[in-house]
Formats: sequence, structure tokens, C-alpha cells
Amino acid sequence: MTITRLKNVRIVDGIHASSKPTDLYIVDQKLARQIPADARIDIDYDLDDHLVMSGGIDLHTHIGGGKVNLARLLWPERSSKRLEEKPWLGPLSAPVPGTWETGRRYLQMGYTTCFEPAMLPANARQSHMEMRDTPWLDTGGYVVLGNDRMLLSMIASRAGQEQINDYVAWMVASSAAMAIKVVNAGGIDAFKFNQRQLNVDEAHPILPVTPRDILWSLSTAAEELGLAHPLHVHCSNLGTPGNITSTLATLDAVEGRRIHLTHVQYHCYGDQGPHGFSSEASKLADRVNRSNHVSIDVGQVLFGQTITLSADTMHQFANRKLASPRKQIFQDLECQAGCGLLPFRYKEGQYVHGLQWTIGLELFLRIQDPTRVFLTTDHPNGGPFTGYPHLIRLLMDYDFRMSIFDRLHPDVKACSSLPSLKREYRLDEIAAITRLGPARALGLQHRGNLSPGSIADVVVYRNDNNAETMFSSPEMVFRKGRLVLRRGELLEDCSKTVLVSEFPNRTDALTWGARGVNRQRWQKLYGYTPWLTAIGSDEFTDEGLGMEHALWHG
Amino acid sequence: MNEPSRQPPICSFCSLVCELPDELHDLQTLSVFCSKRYIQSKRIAASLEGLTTDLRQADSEALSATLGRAIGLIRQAQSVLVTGRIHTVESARAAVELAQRLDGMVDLWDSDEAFDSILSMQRVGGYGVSLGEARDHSDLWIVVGDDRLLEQTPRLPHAMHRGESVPMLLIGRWSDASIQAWSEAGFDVLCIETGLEEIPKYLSQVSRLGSNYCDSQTGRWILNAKYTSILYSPTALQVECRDLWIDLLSRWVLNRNETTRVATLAWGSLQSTFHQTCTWLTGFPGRIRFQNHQPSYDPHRHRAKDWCDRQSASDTAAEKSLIIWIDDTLDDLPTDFDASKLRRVIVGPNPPSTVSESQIWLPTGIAGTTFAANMFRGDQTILAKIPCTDPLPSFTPSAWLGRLTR
Repeated sequence: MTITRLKNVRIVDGIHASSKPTDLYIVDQKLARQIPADARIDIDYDLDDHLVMSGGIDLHTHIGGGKVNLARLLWPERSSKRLEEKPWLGPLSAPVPGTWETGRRYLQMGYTTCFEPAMLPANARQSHMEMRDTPWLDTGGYVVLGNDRMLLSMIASRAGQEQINDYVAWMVASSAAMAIKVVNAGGIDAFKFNQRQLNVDEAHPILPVTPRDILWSLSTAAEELGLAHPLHVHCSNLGTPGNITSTLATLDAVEGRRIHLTHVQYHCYGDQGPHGFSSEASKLADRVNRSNHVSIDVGQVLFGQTITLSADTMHQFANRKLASPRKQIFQDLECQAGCGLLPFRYKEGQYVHGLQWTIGLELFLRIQDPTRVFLTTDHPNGGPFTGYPHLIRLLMDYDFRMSIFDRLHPDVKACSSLPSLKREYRLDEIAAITRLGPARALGLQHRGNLSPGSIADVVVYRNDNNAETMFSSPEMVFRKGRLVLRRGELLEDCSKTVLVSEFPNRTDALTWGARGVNRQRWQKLYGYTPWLTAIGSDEFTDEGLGMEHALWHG
Repeated sequence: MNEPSRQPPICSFCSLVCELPDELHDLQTLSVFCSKRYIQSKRIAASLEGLTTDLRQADSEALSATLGRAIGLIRQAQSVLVTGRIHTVESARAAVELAQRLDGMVDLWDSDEAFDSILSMQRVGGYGVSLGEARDHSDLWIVVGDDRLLEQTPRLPHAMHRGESVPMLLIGRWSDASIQAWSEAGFDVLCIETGLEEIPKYLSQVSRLGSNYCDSQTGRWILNAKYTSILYSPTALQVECRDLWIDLLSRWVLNRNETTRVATLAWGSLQSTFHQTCTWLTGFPGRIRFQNHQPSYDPHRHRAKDWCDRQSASDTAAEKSLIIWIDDTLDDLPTDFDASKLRRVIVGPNPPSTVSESQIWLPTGIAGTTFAANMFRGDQTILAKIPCTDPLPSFTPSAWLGRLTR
């Protein structure tokens, strides 16, 4: 047994409020508040004037899979120019860096657990393989359903919910996923038949199915299967003026079941104002404040160069002329979904980009419960994840926020309510939106907090009035009890864990794929048996990875 | 999930990474469907048993001594190239990691065709489709290339066909046997023997001018199709300036999607597994030189064969150079590589013609036979795990490469 003491630290985890310095113990891989009187302390750090948080959790960041790799491929420019000519990239070499760099940069900000939110079932093995090669991070992924023709045909033929549950369980388990993600329900498949928009109650062009049907079926499946994380929803009509209507209709469609809306900044637009594009953040925030079953992540826009990537081919294609530089990749994939990639630059002086920036911040500031609103940029869509410390400062420092607001397009300044929102986030609220809240939403009881028995992923920050400085350079990071980073220097590697969902209501989640009739249907649709893409748990253990099962705790 | 009945048999040597039904397992039948597997299997010194027995009975002391000599060569070298025929994620990962640790260069030996496709994508992008989507959805196939496409993946026509007759325009130089193979798979084939250079221009004219320009069957098919898939393989595409040709085709496809659905299916070779893996590790698909362990990408300068030429040109440079060759195939070493006089460490199943102090061989088994490995299907969408039947985990390329820098 190895005991490490972090002496005289201020604990900030959103649960425990300590105004006085206290001691935190790491016993092997777990946390403790007390140790037996006769226990020997092996390593002792006196950390006066430091605060500790648990390791950061990013529940929505594109770090692995086919489209992520295409985004890397689409940005070879980094070697042709000197880094100082590209300040928008910050400490990253590219908007979507390789896995080695991704793992290093996340750790250097104090993040220890990340989730790829859009694994295509056919491509899930690649996603996990990339995440396996992302050092220092524990990882998981959400499987993309809701545009797979197998599910659409089941809903269209009015298959019973029990059959749909069987199929969903198979897809989640065989993809080794944490959750179900739905992207523009039915819209990606509709686009393959040349439809350019699909509202929540609009029928698919060839099947008698609406997005509402899909959302209802999948949210019911997630609830009845007892998945750790609720249905993770990328709403219809991403980025379209007036899309607040379909976002609220999406919330209605799940009829009170748990739901997580992702990158909602892109989904709460009105069509008013001088440019036909306005903020409806207050409307969505009011709804979230009144609905305990709803959580969101923001998808904040940060100014500068990035690459947008999404399974939502329909809306990525609609924006293709905005690509900067002018190149783009689209793909239709395996009757399951698709992807679209556009390099994109958010500009301070541009009306829409400026308003998007204010809308994201409005959501953070208007939603009252910090355990139900999570800090994301939808990396890399709103901006690279290395912008998080900057974003934290925007939330904690009104004057800093306003200093950037003052540089925006005059029409943004004229119509935005951001100046009236004087709220400044406290440190415990930052811990809630970056750690505690995501852990709860994902059913990760032993992560995201510093309670006794929790995993010893601990970040030590030196107190600093400038939150951006503080959160971009932790003094120490412990992973599973071992000191892996000190003052920016990487000290050692650490073991990695894959996070998957528990199935509390199933003895075998894989029965659907084992049935002959389903194998034949799959073979007919895809040309191979379902077991070609199914991931066995031995694939992780063979690679030396641990596995952790997440469970919803209510 | 690991019950034998649930594990599909997978052909490990074809970039289709297709599954073979049980009844096709005898080699005679297999040769009809996948010449690669048949050829590879034949080559293993009359039988697979020979290779695995050799590895099992290998003298561990002699192997340790060989490893020691290889490490000695690495320590002496001032410039290292990691190259070869790398077809699995595991070998690719080990190759890139080795190059990074040694501050060397990494590139496949023969990747010019694949890089034409990559460079085009980096300039223009494109609209692509995976095999399963195209198979289920396309109402017109345009297949551009020549017989080599079917030589590389003989089962591709069967994998593309969904069980109903679909029109197919076959463009390029195809033998009667190939045309028959496409027809027998169930496609309604119309063969056009024309210069491939003209294809992007022809497609643009048909779609711009419509039936006024082209009243033929070909034109009607193109104009009426609701989802066209254009299949080509960069390795079976005989055109001048291949990357510019792909640029033009990609631009037409992107524009055409303003009004209907069109997509390309660029069928990758076995090498695509390396390019994918290298991209996710470093951000670049290959042709990398590491400096202070940071990758620097130059698709024109960091080409493996050019490096060999440069190093060989000067005796001083040649003395300080080392090639680490990694082979996931059973083929003989390429003649242009064999002709090089640079020092080398060869990691693969086939011994070189001579073994000396400057040419060291570290023996391995075969992916999908003596070690499990992951490989991409040719459309680079599905990463399939190829299970092994006779595990010899010490004799994998990645195991050797790990020992080289330990």
C-alpha cells in the first residue's frame, strides 16, 4: 500500500466546501480523507495556497474515429508555416491533432477522462483503437443510431419496443459504447435521398418515420435498458435560423424521459433581427431550468481557425460554401450515417459568429444548476479543446468577457443581452460544469469528485486571479494515484481504462446479433454478418486496457 | 462473443477484408474467390506448418544474438528509415513509434499511387461513399480502371452486388474475362473503352448540357441516376497526373451533389491501414521525418525511395544510414529495395537472400495466422480484427520493434 498526502489543500469538487486548508490522501489508486493513525505516509506534498479538483471530464469531444482522422488528413498545412503565424491554434499544432498530442494536451489542462460522442457502429473499432492510442486519458464513446436503416425500417414497420430495445442493446454492447447518440434523427438518411431538411414531425422521404418517432423509440430504449447516460441528442436543423422550434419539439418528443442535448449553442437560434438571425438562449435556458430530466452541453464558439466535423451530412453540406480554406469532405457510410468536414474560421467581427459566441455564454450564465450544463466546445467544431481555460475565464470574469464583447459586430452589441448577465462563476461551479456534472450524467460515481473511495485522478492548481493561467497549467496531475505531470512536465505513462455502459436490465445484451433471422437481415443490408464489426471485451484486455462499467444511480 | 460459432472466418490477405463462408475454406475453391490468399498460402514453404515449426524451434540464444547485432546497427546509425510493406494496425503503430524514438523517417516503400489520392483529398476534399452504402443504395455504378482492380480484390464484384440488377458503366481497359466477371456478379454492364483522362470532362459535359449533349444510353443512365457511385482504385488507374485527375473528378462530384447524389468509392490498397494509423498517431499519413520526436511532413521530400537514393549517393552518408524494413507479406523483397547497398534490419516472415553483419533478419509469423491483427477494408470504413489460428506472440513485427529500442 502506498500513501500520498496532499497537505494543506483547498478541496473544490462541487460537493465538499472547505474554506480552510485540509489534507487529502491517496491510498494506492483511491482517495481517502483519513488514514489509520499508525499508517506510514510514503510521499508528502505540502501544498499551501493550492486547490485540488478531480480530473476533468469532457463528455463531448471528437477524438477518435473515421471523420476525426479525415479531419487530421485535411489539415496538413502545419508544417508549411511557422507556429507563430498561426496563433489561433494556441498550443495545438492543428485543429485536430494526432492522438499523442491530444492526450498530452488534455492532461496538461488537468483532464483525465474523455468521450468520443459519435462512433459509427461500423467504425467503432477504429474509434476505440484511436482512443487506445491517446495516452493518459480514460475514454469511452457513444454509438450513433437513428439514421441506421435497420432501426428506421423497424420503426417504420411498427416493430414493438421490446424488439427495438434488443436491437439497441446489441448495438451499444457490440460497439463497446457508453451511450446512444442520435444526430439529426432521420435527417442524415433523408439527405442520401436528396432531401435538404427534416423537421421533427416531417416524414422521411421513403419510410413512414418521423424524427419524433425515432427520438421517442431511442429515449425509451435508453431508459428501459437502464443505460448510464440518457439519449444524447444532436437536434434537427443545426445552425439554421429559427431552429429553437425544433429543439423544443425535440424535448417534447421524449415525453419527460431523461435526455441530454448536445452543443445546444447551435440549436437555439431565432430568425429575428437585422440579419434574420437572433438568440433564443433565454427560451432554452428557461426550459432547462424547469426540467430536471434535461442536461446540456454548450458547444461554445471560440474565435479562430478550426475544422467542423459532424455526422450531420445534411447541414454540413448546406454550409459547404463557408469552408475556409475552400475544401471539404463528405461521406455516406454503411447505411448507418455519414459525415461532413469543413475547415472554418470564426471571426470576431462577423455578425453570426459574434452572436454564436454570446449565445453560448448566455446559456452558461442563464442555466442555474451547474451540474446540468457542461463545458464543451464540441471540439473541434466550436474551437479546439485547448481553449477551455480561456472559456473558464470568460465565465469567471465579467470584465474580461465584456472586453471581448466590445470588439464584436455593432449589431451583436445592439441586440445581445449578454452585458446584463453579471453572473461570475465560482470555482465550485467550474468544478461542477467540468467534473461533477458530467460524471453524474454518465453514471460515473467514482469520478468527478474527491469523495473517499473515488478514483485518485487529482489535479492540483496554484491559486491565481487569472483563471486562464490557472487552468491551463496545473501544478500537478495524479492519474490513478500516480503523479504523471508536474509543472507541465510529463513524468510517466499510466494505465488506461475503457468506459462502457452497464445493462442492469439484461443478462445478455448481445442476443439480437446471435439470432439467425437478424444475422440474415444484417447480411442482406450490409453484406457481412454483424459479428464482423462487433467488438469483444478481450480486444481491450489484450491491449492491456482496463474496463469500467457505468451505471445510472438516479 | 468469443464463442467459435460467432466468429466469422475472415480472409486476412485481401484488402476487402471479406468474410468467407465456411464451405469456401479449402484452397482450391478459395483460389477462385481470392487469389491472394491462395498464393500466399502456397508460398509458405509448402505448408504453414513449416513456418510455425521453424519459429517454435528457433534457437533463442541465436535470436538474442541477432537482436543484439540489430540494436548495434541502430546505435551506430545517424539516419534511419523505417519502411516496408506494412498492412496491419499493430505493425504500423510499432513502425511509427520506432521512427519517433529514433528520430528517423517513416514511409511505406511503395505508396506513390495512394499518395496521389491523399494529396488530392488534402487539396480539394471530396464526396465519398463506403462499400455497404453504395451496395445498398446505388442505382448506377461507374467503375473506372483496369483488370488490376479485380486482380487485387477478386471478390469485389460480389461484395458490391445487392442481389438485383444495377446498371454499371465500365470505363477503361478491361479484358473480356473481367467484363464477364462484372456481368456474372449481376450487374447490367455497359463497357466504354476510352482514354481515362477524358472522364471528368465527359461527366461535366453530360451533367451541364444534359440530353442535348448526350442522347446515348450512357448519358441517360448518368442523367437519370439518383445515387451514382464511382469506383476506382488509385493502384489500378492508368492516367497521367493521377492526383490532378482525382481533383477534377472530386470537383465534379461535389458540384453534382447540389442537385442529386453522387459519390466516389476510392478503393484503397492494403497500404491504407498504415496511412490511417500513421494519421491518427501523428496527424500525417506517412512521409514523415521526426526531429526532436516531433513529426515533420513533406509528401514530396520524405519519400522512402528518394531517401535511399540520397543516402546511397554518398559513401559517407551510406555508412551512417540504416533501413528498418517491416514486412506483413510473404512476398520476396522488391528488387529496387534489394539492390540498395545500405545496412538494414529486416523484420518479416521471409528471409532475405543473404544474411550478413549489414543485413539482419528478425523472423516473424503471419498476420491472421500466427498473430491476431487489425486491418482496414478497402473503403477504409471497417477495421476488422483478423483472429489467428496458431498464436506465436513473440514473433510479431511489433514485438520485435519493441525489443529493438528497449
